[in-house]
Amino acid sequence: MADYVNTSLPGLLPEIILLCAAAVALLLGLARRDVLRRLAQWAAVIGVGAAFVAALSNDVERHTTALGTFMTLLTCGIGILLLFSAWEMPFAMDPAQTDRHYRGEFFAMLLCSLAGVSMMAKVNNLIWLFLALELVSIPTYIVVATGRGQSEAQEAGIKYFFLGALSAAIYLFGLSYLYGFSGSTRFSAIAAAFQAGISPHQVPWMAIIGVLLVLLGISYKIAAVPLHFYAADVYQGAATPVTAFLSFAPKAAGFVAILLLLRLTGWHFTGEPGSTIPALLTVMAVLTMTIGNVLALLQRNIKRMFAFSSIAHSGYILAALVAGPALVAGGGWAHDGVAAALFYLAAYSLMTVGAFAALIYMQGKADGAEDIDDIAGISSEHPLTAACMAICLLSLIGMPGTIGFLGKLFIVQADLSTGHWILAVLVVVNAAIAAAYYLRIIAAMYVREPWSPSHVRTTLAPRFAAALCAALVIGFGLAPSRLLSDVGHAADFMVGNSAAVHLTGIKKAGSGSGVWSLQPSPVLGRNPALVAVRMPSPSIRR
Amino acid sequence: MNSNLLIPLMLLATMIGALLVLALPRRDNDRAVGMLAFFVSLVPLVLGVLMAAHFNYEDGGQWQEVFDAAWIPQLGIRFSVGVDSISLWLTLLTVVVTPLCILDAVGKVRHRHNEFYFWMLLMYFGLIGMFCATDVMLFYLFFEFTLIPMFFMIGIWGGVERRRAAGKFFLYAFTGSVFVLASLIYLAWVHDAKFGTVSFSLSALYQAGQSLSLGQQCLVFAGLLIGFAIKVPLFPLHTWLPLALSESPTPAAVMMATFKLGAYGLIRFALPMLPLAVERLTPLLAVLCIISILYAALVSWVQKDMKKLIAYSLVSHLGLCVLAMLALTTTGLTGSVMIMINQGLTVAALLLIIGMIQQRYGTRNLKDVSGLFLRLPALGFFVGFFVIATVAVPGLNGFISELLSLVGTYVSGSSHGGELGPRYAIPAALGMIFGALYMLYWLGKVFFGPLEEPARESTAGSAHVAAPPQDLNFREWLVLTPLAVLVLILGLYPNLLLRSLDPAVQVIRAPDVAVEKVGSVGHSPAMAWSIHHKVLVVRSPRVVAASMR
Repeated sequence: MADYVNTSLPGLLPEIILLCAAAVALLLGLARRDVLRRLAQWAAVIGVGAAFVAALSNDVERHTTALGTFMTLLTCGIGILLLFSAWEMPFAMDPAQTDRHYRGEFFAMLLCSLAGVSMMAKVNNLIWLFLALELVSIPTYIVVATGRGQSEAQEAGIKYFFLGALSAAIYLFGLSYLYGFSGSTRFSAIAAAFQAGISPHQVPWMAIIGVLLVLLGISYKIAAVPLHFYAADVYQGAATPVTAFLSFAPKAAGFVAILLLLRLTGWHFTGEPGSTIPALLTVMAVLTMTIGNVLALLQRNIKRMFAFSSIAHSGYILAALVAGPALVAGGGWAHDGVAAALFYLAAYSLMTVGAFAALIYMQGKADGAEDIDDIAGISSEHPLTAACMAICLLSLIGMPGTIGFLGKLFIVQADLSTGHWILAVLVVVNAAIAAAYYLRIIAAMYVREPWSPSHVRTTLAPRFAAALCAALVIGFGLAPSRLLSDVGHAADFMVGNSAAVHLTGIKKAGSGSGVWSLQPSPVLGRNPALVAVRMPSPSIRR
Repeated sequence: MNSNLLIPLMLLATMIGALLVLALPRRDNDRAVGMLAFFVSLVPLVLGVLMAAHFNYEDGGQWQEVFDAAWIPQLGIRFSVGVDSISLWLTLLTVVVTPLCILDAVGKVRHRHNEFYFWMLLMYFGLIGMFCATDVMLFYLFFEFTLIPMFFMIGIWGGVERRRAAGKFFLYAFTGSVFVLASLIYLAWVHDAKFGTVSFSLSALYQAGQSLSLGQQCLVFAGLLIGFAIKVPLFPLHTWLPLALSESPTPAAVMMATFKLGAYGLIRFALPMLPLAVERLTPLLAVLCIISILYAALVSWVQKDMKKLIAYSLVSHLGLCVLAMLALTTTGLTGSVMIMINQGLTVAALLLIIGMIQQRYGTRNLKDVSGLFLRLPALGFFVGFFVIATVAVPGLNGFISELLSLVGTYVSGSSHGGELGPRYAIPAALGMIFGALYMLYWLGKVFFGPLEEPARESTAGSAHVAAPPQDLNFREWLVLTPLAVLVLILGLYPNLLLRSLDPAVQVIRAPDVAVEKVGSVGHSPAMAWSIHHKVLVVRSPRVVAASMR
């Protein structure tokens, strides 16, 4: 089988640009003169912008994949917003300190991490799968610990690092099982081994255990139950721009890794060992969104609240993944769980980064406002920023007209159309729970009287980022066609080349469990190619 | 002018107006911005009157003034708006009452004036869109959107407990509506799976809903019901309304009470989409309605707060509205829609009047005031007039709608179709008698008897401490007179409504006769609708089964 992920050098141009920009930023940060050091962040922004342009001009057919291009564009787009949110970051570390010699480092780390996210979607080898995820993670350990001159940050950094190292070990351990199962680290060989294992309706336990361990390792990155415990402390302890970064980069990389992994398995899960994977995903999705939302409800610290809410949003994306990919490339939105997941990932990134950018602006130089009382009545002083934050929060709630609404719509649609209606109802119930705590922030900003003087940064960069996010949240919410088609292509890639998925028509299936299952293709006869059939709701097909 | 653009123009006018109002420089009083908002709000009124003049009432069951454009093609969501006669009347109600609300508010908004009128106009925008949407996702969009302005209006300009009230309002309504969303998505998917097109058009979802089995219909119906019953509100889910209504500022309270979003949702979606489930669940729901009617009427009787009294009376009346709807008779359904319109008019007037009393005396408590007729004869006249309209005295508009509703319920179950009957109509009628009792009690207590006014210190406006409250000023006359005239016209000449509602009600009532669209992929709703009135190609399983028997 041909290597389906083609990572030629031109395809990696965006990542190369990002890493070069990181090096430039690092060097500029070491400069003696303050003026030069100030150029570091400009170098970072220009680098991300150039990577964005490079990704746009990439030839999808020849050099990279639709998923790769989509993820690069998303990473760079969100990356610019994150850089603007973090604009004043090095000053905020310690206002009294005049010698800001680690300014360049900070932006270099962010760029390295972004390069990792971007590269993640283009790997075709287990080793690279691991390295890309580490490229995302290691810089984040550094910025969490050094991003803020307070002991909380160091505590958060230590927690994040040790648990992260542990999860990386689990992840690597799982990869070793996959290697043992297939005898190769190449994706094509592993996919072929799964394919061969599928024919006698039996994938060995070893492979399944490998997949489960990898999923477990990644669940740390995406802050999914059961490895979600660190999130609240780390999000709270880190400087707010770093928190914003954490809510995007590791998650995006983690979900792409999950997608690639499930793609290796061909999304074919049946029989005794195989069916544990969808079952595990379902349980993870339910627990993640419910626990995240319920615990978020109890928080008064805004950053902790966002930590739990980001856990909950990971749960929604997992719920989309449970629905599985479309049966055919371009098979329509209603059935496409992968497209729903990717769309929601983009939507979530945009609205969360927007909310964080607004929060960063409201927090002021002292990095102060963390309690919900601190932003009470802030709308009278800063109407624009408050409005941006409110728009992003309404989108997180899922109000119609915003991108968050469409995201939830797709997830519910994907789950319903693949027969997971209980999951769909749980998503909907969770959306209602989530409304309560997001609304509390909106109410604090608009309804309450101000009770503490707010300190506001002098720079407009975070405000600009927040405004841009809010505009995009509404823009994509009302005119999503372009984004939809990009996401659709990216998702088609997940199924299009996947081993032997030929749609030959939906066949009436025995059990109504709605999990993925296999049936010999009635058309292809003795052909070993098998058909992935996701059960429609049994009652519909009567 | 292309008449099809009427509804988009209405929406555009309110949206631009809202942004304009927000952009206006801040002043220390709200007169300029309020008057601007008022004049903006008159634009949809003019357009609405044009639409009413242009509307073909003989074909009231069909969507007219349709505007249809692709929006999100991947999902089959279209921007398509139009009106049938039910939508037309409710839209007209909206464009009449909202400007009056805004006019009444001018001069009374104490702080953050621009924002207030901004939210008012956005609410206006949402309501027009909601009543006119013929794409279900578009409907849902507007339906949800109305929560945002209402939340801010209650939260910022409300009473003492405004934060709690705003949160409770939003969360109740949002929780309900996500279930509506899930149900609608499910129906759209069913349509996709069975008929091969992704569409959220009303006709597509009617088709999808009717093709489901009883069990599935019940599930979908449960989802819709959670959302719409909270919005109506029906008995066990009504607890948000008294708090939200009494804490909201007068214009917001009027908007909340006048427009029956929940009842509209039920009659537009649940009834025609899921006939089997409706038939099966009718007795259960009817019992809830009866409880709503009686319980709320009794609770209303003991309220001390005038707004809470109105809130419970609203629950009571809406119980009757839904009951009549569930009777599934032509009379009942017509009565139900008439309650939405007529009760909307009177409750708007009563809430505006309560706002006027509160502004004069700083209290809404029944105990604090008495005999106001002596002090405020003109206001007293209007109160008497609208109370009489509410308690269904013949000659005013409340009478005909309640009569039709009760008769519709009474005859249901006999040859007229439906499941209910006298055993439901009689307790409902009892509830209406209670209604008359508490409304008249309120009128008597507050406006007749010896004059009692709260001590001067308690009045809020310190500038007018010495002077006794004045009777209606010019603007208040201007606000109340149109409502009174409409109440009188609709009371004396109900045929205006009745005749035009009939065709639309037939569509709601007998959806299985109206199954449409064979192989017509991608029709605009207008075309689909016109087809489904002229060509009866496919009959639903229910009709087929009936004919086979």
